[in-house]
Amino acid sequence: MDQPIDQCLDTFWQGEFTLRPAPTDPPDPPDPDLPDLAPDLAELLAPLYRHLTA
Amino acid sequence: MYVLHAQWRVDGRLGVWAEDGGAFARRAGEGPRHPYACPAAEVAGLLRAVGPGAAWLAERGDERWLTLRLPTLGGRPTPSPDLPVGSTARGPELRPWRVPALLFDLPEAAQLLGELFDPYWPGTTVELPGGRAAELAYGASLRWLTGVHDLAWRLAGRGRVLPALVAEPGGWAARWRPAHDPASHREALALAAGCPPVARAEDGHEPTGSALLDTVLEALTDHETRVALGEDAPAAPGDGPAWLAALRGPDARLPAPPEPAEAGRLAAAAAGTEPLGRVRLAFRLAEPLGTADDDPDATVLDENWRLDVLLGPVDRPSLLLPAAELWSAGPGSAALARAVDDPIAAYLAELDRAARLLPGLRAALHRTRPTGLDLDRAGALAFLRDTAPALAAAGHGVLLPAWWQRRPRLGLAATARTTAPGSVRRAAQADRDALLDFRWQLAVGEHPLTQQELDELAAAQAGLVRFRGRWIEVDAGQLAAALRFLAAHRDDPQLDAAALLRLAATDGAVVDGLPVTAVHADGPLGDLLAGRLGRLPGARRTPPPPGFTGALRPYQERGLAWLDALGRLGLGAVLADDMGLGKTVQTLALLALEHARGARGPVLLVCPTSLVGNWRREAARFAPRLRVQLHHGPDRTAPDPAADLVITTYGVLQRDAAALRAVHWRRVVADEAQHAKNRAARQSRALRSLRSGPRIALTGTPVENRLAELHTVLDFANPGLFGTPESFREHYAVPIEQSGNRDVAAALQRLTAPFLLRRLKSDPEIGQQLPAKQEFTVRCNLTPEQAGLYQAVVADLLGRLGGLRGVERKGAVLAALGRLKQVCNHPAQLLRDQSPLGGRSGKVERLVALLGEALAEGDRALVFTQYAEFGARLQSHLRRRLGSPVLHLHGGLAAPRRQELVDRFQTPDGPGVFLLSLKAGGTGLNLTAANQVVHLDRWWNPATEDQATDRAHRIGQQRDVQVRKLVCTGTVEERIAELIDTKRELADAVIGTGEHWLTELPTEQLRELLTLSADATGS
Repeated sequence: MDQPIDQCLDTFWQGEFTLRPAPTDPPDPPDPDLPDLAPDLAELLAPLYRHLTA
Repeated sequence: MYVLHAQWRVDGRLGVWAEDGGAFARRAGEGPRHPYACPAAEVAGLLRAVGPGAAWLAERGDERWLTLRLPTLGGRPTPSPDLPVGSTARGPELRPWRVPALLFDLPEAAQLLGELFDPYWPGTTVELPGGRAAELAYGASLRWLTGVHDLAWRLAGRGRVLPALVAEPGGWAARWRPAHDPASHREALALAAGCPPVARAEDGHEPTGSALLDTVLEALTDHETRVALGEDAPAAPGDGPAWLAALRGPDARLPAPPEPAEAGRLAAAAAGTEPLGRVRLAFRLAEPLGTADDDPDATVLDENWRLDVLLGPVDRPSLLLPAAELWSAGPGSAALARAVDDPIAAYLAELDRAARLLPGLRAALHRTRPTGLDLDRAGALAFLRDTAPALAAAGHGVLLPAWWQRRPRLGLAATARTTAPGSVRRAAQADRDALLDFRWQLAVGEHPLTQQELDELAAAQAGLVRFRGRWIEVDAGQLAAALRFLAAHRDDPQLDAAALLRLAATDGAVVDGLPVTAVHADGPLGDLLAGRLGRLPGARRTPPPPGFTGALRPYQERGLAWLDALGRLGLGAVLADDMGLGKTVQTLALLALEHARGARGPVLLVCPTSLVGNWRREAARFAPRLRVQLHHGPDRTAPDPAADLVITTYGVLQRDAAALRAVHWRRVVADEAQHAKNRAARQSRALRSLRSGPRIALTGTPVENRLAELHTVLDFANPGLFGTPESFREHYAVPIEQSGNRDVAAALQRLTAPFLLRRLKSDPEIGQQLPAKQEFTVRCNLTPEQAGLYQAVVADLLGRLGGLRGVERKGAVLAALGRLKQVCNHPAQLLRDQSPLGGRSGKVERLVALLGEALAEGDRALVFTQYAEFGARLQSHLRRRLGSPVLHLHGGLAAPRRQELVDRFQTPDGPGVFLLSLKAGGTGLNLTAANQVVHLDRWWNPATEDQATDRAHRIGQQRDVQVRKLVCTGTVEERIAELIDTKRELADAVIGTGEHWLTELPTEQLRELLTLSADATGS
């Protein structure tokens, strides 16, 4: 009965995740744009978004 | 062995703590204190040992205690699985334990998680104070948090963030929140589901994985977005809302609670999720052609730039129509209607989204049938420079005029001219006979500007300027900075040859914020820049100098010219020709050349012990005018300043470091420089600390295992020129080794090309000068005795693997592999008894037969094995069976004895068989008397085996060389040989690390690789 305890300890200490997972296959369609912002908000934020993604 | 863990605390600070494998056994449990967690100061020590970034951060952590609820067995917390101590007791319960930790505030926490992110190799070997090396593994809690940080960092960098106004304990604040796309959403879900419980073990605060992920991801996304915006983010308009300013700076707090409507609007935007766009937009900018319509003289350029919008279905990238067609109801519009429902609505919706990045589009939307925009010159430049990349990053198509990608840039051109000999400064740098005068000029692309052009540009308005018939981008600030730079540096010899070469070889080199667009030089430097020196068959050659008594082959004369040019420029060189192409001869020719020119002062040559005799003999033979001193052996005398060449070994260098440092050497030559590949090792440090003129590194394998080794060798030759090991790792080693990035590999090749010369035997010109090499894999059967032992070793290993983890598992796999190779060689090798060898090993019987045939043909053979002890037994066995003398060279022999064996073998009537240990005999020796090479057992590192083979297959070899690698059928030997043969390219990249990759294989694959197949005994 050691195995279940070991597994239980492994779960506690290890979890189950992947760092920066590879893209899934088939590839996602192109990213949709960000959720809608009202035009005036969009205008206010546009310089910041450009700065982030440039 | 240490394991580093991390905890995201309820107060938003990051706690870092560590388990100490050494203390696991030593310290008994005592009260609530975790018995084998490191003291906080030791945690800081571990971080310091990881690297400079983590070291800097380690100073900024607060020493505090964490209370964690950890699985507890028998009154002690269980070790994490990374700690190789194992535990099989039963009945765990969660109990609180007090753990010393370092606590970090958010900015340092984010930086540290970024430093420690490593999806490939979560852990490192660290050198602790006192020179002790230890394995440091990153526990899952830490890895998980680095993964969350990495996701936050990527979201911020892609602009996938949205503002939100939130009420926090300290008042209202404006925060950036993640705005997931499908892929990042999936990634976040997986992280939440896979969150290790240890990451949520803070006593009194045990959130779900999903809640912890939300907390951490939100905090880190906000932080990383602010970092990405940086101080140079566009300023908020003075009359903009307060929350906009609070999104930019380090302080997220709002001076007053926001209007509920404002908070609601932003919240609605964040909550609103849209279906995927059905059409994809593309923006095409067309430049004005010809002159303005209304200019009768046709001298004023048309200023009308046009930005057209195109669209097509998302799932059919090839179908792209000008938006004008949408409104014309032509065939294109009909095709679109078949692919997309209501294409006009989809088009307008997508245009609305794009308008967020290109506000001018919004005005176009107000027209009845929007198809695009007219732009003036400034608008066109703003689109090209700022908006187009943002649109592309957001998934829209962008079609720009072809010249934009290749537009010549305004930058600096560096020109170097060799000054005439006898210049005033000559005396100050006596070891260089060419000095350089530098001059900076402004240039557009590669062409320096004349004064008149410079004046014209300065007078022209900034922006897109028509220049020499082409559009160029002129930045007024940059132009002013360039003019200032020129005024300050016009005739300032700020650069030396190394820096100039580096400028020329670096993509995107920048000086004082200005791009360097061209580098020109004459003399040897110009030759180096233009590739007229070194590898190409047409490159310059320097014939053998007076005082050099050998002949040089054409490629060696090119090598000599290259070494000489670098030396005259005061630069170090890495001569990395394949084994056997004459690195020794080229080096001696260089020293003879410099000696003939009147250069005086001792040159220090450092080499492995086994090569001391070789160097001495070759120097006496080829450069008899050089006064050679051996600084080696127990009776060695102090280095003689009157000697021309002082030969010493890496071992002596380490022992006599102080005495050798006291001399200023004219040059230092490191032979087999890969011996000093480990920067931290004492002999590497001793080598680098020598004071000398230009250095030379000789190596046949500049990259044996990892690119870091190449950096060490390059850095020895030209200290500091290739940056720190850390920056080299970040810019080159990681992208090349982990992602196979060919562009980066090419950039590294360009950067190192002037300083590193590598010719291969497979180069067509050189290949013609070497006899052929034929390689065979010889399959041998196991005897029943071998098969029985083999199966026993495999069964023992597979039986134990289930209970082993981490380094224990690796150790067990490596040990078993070693035992299997021994069984394949001979049962007596595994059993370590003195039982007779005859008739018990298929491989040894085959070897006897092969050698017997070779001797009968008048051939002579080298036999390589990794095992010195078995080699000794084999020597007497072969001697008896073959009735012929057999030599045996191994690491246990002193250098003079090794040299004696080599000399004896090389004599025309020397012994027919030379048994060598791979380690002691695999490099440096010249054994061209042999034309047969046998690898008795496999090292599974093609580079190492090829080096050994090259003892015989090298310049001086007159006959074709036959190479035989012996493997036992149906065993791990045969399977790995097949793996390497079929995936040689992969092998070069991956299996270069020897046998360690095998230890990483899952048990099932290991079973397949090791299990004996039925044909093994051939019966």
